[in-house]
Amino acid sequence: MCRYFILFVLIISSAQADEEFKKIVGKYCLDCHGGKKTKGGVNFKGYEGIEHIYENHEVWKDAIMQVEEGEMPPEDDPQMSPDEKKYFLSKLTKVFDEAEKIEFTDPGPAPLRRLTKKEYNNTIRDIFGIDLELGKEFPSEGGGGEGFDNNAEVLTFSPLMFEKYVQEAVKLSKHIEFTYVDGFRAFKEEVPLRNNPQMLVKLNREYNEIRNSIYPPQFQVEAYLRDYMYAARDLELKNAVDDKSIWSYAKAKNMNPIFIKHMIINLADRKSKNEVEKKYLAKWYALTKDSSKKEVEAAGKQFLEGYKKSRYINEHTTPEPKALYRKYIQNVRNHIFKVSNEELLLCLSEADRIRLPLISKERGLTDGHVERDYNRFISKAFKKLDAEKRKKALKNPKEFLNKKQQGTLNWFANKRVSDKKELDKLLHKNISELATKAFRRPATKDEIAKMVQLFHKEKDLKGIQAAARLVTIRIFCSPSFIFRIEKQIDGKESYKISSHELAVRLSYFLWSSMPDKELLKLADNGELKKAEVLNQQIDRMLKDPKAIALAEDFSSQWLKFKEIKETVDLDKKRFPEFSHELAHDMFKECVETLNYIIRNDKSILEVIDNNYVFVNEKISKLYGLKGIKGDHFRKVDIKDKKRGGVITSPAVLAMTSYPLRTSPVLRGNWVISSLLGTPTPPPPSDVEELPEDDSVADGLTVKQRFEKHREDPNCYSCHSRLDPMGFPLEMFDPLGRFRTKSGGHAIDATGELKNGNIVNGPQGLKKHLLSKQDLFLENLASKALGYSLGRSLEFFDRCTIAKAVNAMKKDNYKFSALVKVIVHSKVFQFRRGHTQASK
Amino acid sequence: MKLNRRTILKGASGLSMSLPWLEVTAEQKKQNKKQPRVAFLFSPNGVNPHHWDPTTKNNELELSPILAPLSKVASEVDVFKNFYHEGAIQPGGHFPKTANFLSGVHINRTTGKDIKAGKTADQIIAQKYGHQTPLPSIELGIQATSTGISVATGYTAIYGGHISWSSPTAPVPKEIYPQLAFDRLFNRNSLSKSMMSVLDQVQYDRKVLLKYVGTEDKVRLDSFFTSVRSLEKRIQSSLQNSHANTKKVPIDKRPGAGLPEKVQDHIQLMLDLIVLGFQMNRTNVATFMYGNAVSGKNFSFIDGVEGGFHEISHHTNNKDKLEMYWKINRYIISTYAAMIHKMKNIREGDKTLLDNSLVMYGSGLRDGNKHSPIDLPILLAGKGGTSIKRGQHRIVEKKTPLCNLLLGIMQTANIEIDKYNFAKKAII
Repeated sequence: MCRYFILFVLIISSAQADEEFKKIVGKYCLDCHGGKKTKGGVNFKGYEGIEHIYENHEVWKDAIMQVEEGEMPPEDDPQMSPDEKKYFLSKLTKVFDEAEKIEFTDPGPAPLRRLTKKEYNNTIRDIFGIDLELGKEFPSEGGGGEGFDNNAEVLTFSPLMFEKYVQEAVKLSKHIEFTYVDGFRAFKEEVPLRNNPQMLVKLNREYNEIRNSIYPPQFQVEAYLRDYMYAARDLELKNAVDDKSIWSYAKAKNMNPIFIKHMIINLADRKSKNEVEKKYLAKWYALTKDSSKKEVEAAGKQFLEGYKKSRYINEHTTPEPKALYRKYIQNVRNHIFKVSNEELLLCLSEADRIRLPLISKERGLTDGHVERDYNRFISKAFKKLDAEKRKKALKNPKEFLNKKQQGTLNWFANKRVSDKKELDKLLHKNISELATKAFRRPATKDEIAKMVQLFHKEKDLKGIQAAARLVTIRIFCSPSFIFRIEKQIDGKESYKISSHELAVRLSYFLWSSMPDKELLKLADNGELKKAEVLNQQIDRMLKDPKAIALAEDFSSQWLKFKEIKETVDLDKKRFPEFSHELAHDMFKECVETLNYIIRNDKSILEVIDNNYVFVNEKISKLYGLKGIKGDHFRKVDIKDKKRGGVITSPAVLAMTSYPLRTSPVLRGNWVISSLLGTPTPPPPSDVEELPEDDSVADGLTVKQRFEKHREDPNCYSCHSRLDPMGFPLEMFDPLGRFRTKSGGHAIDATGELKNGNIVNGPQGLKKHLLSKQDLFLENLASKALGYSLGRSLEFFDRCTIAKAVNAMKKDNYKFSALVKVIVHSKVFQFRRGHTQASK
Repeated sequence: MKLNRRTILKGASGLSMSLPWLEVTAEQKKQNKKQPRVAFLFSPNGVNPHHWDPTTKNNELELSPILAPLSKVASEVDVFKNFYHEGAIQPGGHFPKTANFLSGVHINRTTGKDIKAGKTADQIIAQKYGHQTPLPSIELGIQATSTGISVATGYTAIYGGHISWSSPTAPVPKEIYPQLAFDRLFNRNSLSKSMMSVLDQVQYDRKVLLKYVGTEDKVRLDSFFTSVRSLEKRIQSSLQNSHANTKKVPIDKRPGAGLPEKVQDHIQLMLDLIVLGFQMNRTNVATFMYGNAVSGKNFSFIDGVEGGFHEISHHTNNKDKLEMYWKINRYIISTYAAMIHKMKNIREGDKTLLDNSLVMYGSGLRDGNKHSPIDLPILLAGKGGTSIKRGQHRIVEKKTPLCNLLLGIMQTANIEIDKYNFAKKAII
């Protein structure tokens, strides 16, 4: 506090002359905002001197606006003389202007921060490369500072919280499988501890379910073949037989792409067909682009009849489910232990587990080669051997196996280790790797040694997989994982954080997750310190799919559309279309829009206005768009000038409505607080509210009722700011649909500003807001800075905000310009060199 | 979540519960000196002031429309009038009247930098006697704390989501998943010997990290390690009594996973869990929030109610809204009444569970339309092991601190304390 003070005295060189200022505040402000009365929660008592502005800077910043726009002092109270007003404003503005220019040396507090629910899951996702959706049942973060869940100050800890971390780590550990060679890996399904008969039965069942979802049951084969034939023809006609087209086609039709591909290949391959086959396929091959539907069906019928008679379609080209089924069951019975639709797991012993790819992702096809080899290898070579010989065979394969089997075995052998020392080394390495990732810093020798100890102890009791689970739990319950910890170096006033710490700050800002390999590499070799490298990384990271976190986490809290999922509850009788799912789609629309703007580095002003919307079928109906099918979102260009931008999105329009009616006040409030960052104080109690339902006609339109309300001077000062921002949106009902009438009255979508200007309809509102872009940008910059730092903003943050606003204006309002200013700022890259008692 | 109807029905009737009390005859004697069980139930958004106050006729309570559901247990419940929280008289809507409901202190207005409320009565009891039960206290609710700040009033939403504070800066988060609450109550999660060695190692991290962080962060880390210790203690005690405990888990009462879709099921399950926890001696202290501050929970399953609770509470003297307002209040009271009724039907020796408990109900506001923390709606049931008589309309002096009652409850729960925030004299 003392340090602030000295700083401040330096800034306001004219602080001595503040008696005049104090007098003005005393004369015009303190009656309502000091001592006994604290209207709107504002209290200047004790802060009326200009040297105290920093302690209460948000309020004073607001005071500038209030006085400038003539809202304070209230109309009926004594008014400042022009000179007094000028003096008051110039004094205050000067303080703020200077603050914007000065490079402060204080980076502000950077308290230890626990991972949020979202960051927790994202980080584990990025460590293991699989999303297990953990942390869902954690208590939600309260949120603080600039209004974000990642605010360190409110991320408090409690026994319940720790228990949740333990539970979640236990959950995670059950998905972990450990092998000495591949280390700790996570799988979507729980990995069983050891094989036992019951488990095999269970796996069998699971496995069948998986197979059945891929292969059709026998009795459906015919219909199935027909569907796939027609799909193949469809795609061929479109000349869309590349993998990508097949995949998207299959996805849309809920079919298996692999079999479509098989079908295409099989049908196209005329050479290898024998005479019988050719006969059955004659009609099919004779089809042309212009063939009628009847002809296609006839050709299909002929083919299927032929199929029934000849059964020429072999296992490889089209699956014959029963045979496959049998084969796989056999595999499971032998040694293949666990199967997902991507991998087989071979368990030679508990420690010796190998995963085989079933479907290689690149090819997208069943990897018949590996599978067959493996199958032979097991059934022919190993199955006949007793345990003793099996061991020998592994050591000396030549004696037991033929060449091909040897090749397969070598393939396996590369993944096997038996030497004890070697194993220990591998164990150290694997634990160290996982802990280093999880702790976001190199794990210390000591830490690793302790964990190895833990591993051995548990292994002796319960086996390797149990030991691996326990180590996993230990790592993910560690404060080094749960908290983002930066090294404190006392001494200097402030110091630059390490490149590694910078990488962590950066990735949690842009991705809500840990840094990736590239970023870590640049941190490790010091390259990240170079400004141009840092900028390249920012550009790269903003383009990365993970940057969707900025839309999902940052934007949804900045623009509050997160609420649509959580608290909005429209009346379902009046709005039967409204459902939990629709609310999610509304949320998704906003995420898609923000994600598009941010990741393509478009002008951030497109939040206010643009000429496109992201819609799926359900959302398109709210927009009155036609011809949009399906659940997935796509960008649609629109000509309707009323739409485009987040302001007119159903999410925002719905969350600013009451269950039965729209609310120009809530809408206006959203505009002035979330977009412009200039909120009004809360309403006094005892105000007369509008009828709950706007379809009840009482002779007055909603607007007329409001105007009546505004006649009350108590209400006027706020409502003169709120209402004109809300009325233009009256053209949209609580679901965000366009309307021309409400409660039997034609909609009057005009709002009158205090200066007499009229804001007409959504177009007018957007135009007005674009003219207020400085406020919009400043609010965005404040929010982004607060989010990136995870703390409440301080007075000295003004300079970073001002810089960011300028940078955006100079660079086509790009979000990346804002990010770059923040990331290069002192507050982002430095730490205080000594912890000081907070005020 | 699909709710098993049977679970609710079973839970709703105290008689169908298994009664470990009868099985553990040897412990019976000890039980007579048992630490009283204490529960605090918090309702957001106040009450319809016109339909709350009861009247007294011939020394008998004449219940108001809101309190009517208490008729079956009227002799067990005191209805208080005129309590207030001096510390809660501050602008800022609901938040500064929620976090301090159980402490009465003034809430520091902040968006996070300097959170400060007060250590609450429930936590004071839990910290002193929590070691006697597997779980020191249980905090339950039906709504996740909302995220964000109130830009207009300048408060963090933390204040609106927590009535239990283990220290002035540490809110105790509530569990909103019935199944997880059950599992916690009955130590059904991951409390094994192996886990102890994990926690040992986690404790070891302290040494490593203390070298790493500055003074302020040390404080933050401390709250982490305190939490680790508290889990260690629980595991230790559960290992010691593992045999007895596994025998006692009423697994048939374990709620389904996820959040119940219907608000009424959710409330019911949580209140049942409190009773179960008390009955099975799993904990002696519980708090429950019928909703966060400004809760917009939809109670439209009640006939004639449409819209969110908070919006309705701002009735602006609109006739329809007032009607809906008291109906929601009455519904909430009916769940409290059912809980009391159930506790009354659970025998503990020659007394009942209710006789050995104190169950307070209240809101931090009176009239939701006015946000006034004066003349709060407060109920208290149970005797806490004493022989006090209930069933009165107790009109205390105007502006009597609610802290008086909190002090009285703490004293009855064997806390040696004679001063508590604004309290002047203990009331019980």
